[in-house]
Amino acid sequence: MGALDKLEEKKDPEELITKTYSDAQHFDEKHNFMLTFNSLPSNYENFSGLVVSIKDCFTTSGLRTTAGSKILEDYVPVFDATLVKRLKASGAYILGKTAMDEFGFGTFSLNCAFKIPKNALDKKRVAGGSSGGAGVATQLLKEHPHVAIAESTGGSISNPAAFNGVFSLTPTYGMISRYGLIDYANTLDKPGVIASSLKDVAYVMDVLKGKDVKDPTSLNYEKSFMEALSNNSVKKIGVLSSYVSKVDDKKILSSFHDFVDFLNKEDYDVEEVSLTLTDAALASYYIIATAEASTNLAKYCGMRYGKEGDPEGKHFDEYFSEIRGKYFGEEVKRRIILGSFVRMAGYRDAYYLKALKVRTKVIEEFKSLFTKYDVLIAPTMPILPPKINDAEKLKPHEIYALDVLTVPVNLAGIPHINIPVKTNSSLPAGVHLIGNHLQDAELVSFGYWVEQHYKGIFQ
Amino acid sequence: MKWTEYSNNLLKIHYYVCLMDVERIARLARVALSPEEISKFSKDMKEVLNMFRVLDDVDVSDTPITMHPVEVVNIVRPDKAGKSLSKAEIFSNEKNEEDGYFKGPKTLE
Repeated sequence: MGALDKLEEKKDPEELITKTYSDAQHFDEKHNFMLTFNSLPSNYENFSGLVVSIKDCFTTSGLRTTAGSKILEDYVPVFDATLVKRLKASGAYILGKTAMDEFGFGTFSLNCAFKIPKNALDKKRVAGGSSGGAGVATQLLKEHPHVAIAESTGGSISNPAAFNGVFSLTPTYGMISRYGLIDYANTLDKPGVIASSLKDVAYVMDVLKGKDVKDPTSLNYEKSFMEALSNNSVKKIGVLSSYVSKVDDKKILSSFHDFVDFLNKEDYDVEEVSLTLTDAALASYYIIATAEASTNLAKYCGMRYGKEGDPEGKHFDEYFSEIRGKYFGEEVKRRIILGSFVRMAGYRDAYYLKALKVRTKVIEEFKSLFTKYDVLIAPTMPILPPKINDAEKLKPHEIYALDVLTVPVNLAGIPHINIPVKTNSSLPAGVHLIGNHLQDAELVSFGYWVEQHYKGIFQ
Repeated sequence: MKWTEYSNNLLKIHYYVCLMDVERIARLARVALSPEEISKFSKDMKEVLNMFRVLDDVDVSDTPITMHPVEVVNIVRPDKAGKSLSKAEIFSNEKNEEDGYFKGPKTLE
């Protein structure tokens, strides 16, 4: 049962909002998924009862926005991101801001300047990253009319959705305006939705989608997700065997094979297919993402907003370096170094430009498969959510390698859904449903059909 | 010298350059790093750059670059003055305001 179903019970919006709010505060004491709570409204006249939590990388007027970074610890925006504005206009109540890896740099939400969110199903395990707070909130608040807005650059929506056993959509690049997003990498960043049902995702996508004059990369999209919801037209499905071969975990493999068997029994035309550029896509992504991040982060320098020092008598080189060195976290500094390196004269052609060309080939590979298949499927993550203690021991390149299944689809900017599935343990796994550019409504419709018909959905 | 030896030597030189580079990059990127951070990031860079070597096997001759994954038509909004933020809003996050200006560090000696 999703948020929309709860709204359809026609309870009083005040009752729905206040109950969700107090339960969120209660759960947050143990799971650390919220960075900032909004205040409750003084009257509930214009609210529908839908409660939306917002990843802390989107600006919210009058509500602290940190992007999980110490350097923005005191930043209170004076404007709403376009998606926040659209949600408010639709009658949604903004619950507050969810925890995340600093500037989105992470796979587990362990690179947080503030509190570390903990998995909704097992507090000793990671929440997933970088939208960890959003994934945890959605699982813990599934009995409430709640959805979470998250953001993905290389897998930050699917990953926490899979680790916390909930649904998500990372839409086509440009489907939702990025105006008001504290960016990680402009050509990769995609706002999206995490929810306890794809029906909720469809509803929220109709609110958020479409052109925004403040974001020149935003797209027109006329189709209605809600109207398309019950019109599943998918027939041919490709199973990405090159992705399946990246998974060693027997629990994940077993649950994935169960899902493929189900599709076969339901008379879908299912075939194994392969992609050749999976590892190259991972390398290409980390080059492009860090290159863009290193330039985006130049604006945090101790002036105009964010943490400041006393600039009196200091040269700008000394002042900027000091502020950035003091308030950026370790992973942020690491990515600035890497991203600056791949753009430097002498290395730029070998790394950055080559990565942009590999990106072209990755997109071509996907496009070629979509001439034969309506949807591609693969496991979402190669591992189940690890224990926090174990994840903390991993080296950076080992962590980056765990993004291998989520990065290629993000690099290509194609829409993908996480379906939470049962395993033979208490933890969920995820199945990725992947569609072609701008086939978002069709993909959600297929995902909703799966949600309604597959008995192996994680509850 | 065999090609593989030559290639491995080149790689070692390349890594050495990378280790030296961390300090220089940090200076260019204006991030103060401690000696421990420089040492740690140098090792990390080596491992991450090793991961990037997979790109060497991809033939990209005649392949154009892709900046945006979806074709972007650059539409600009009408050139009309809109409502701006008030001065109070603009300075609301600034700690070092002086006489209605942002106060920053000096850029000239």
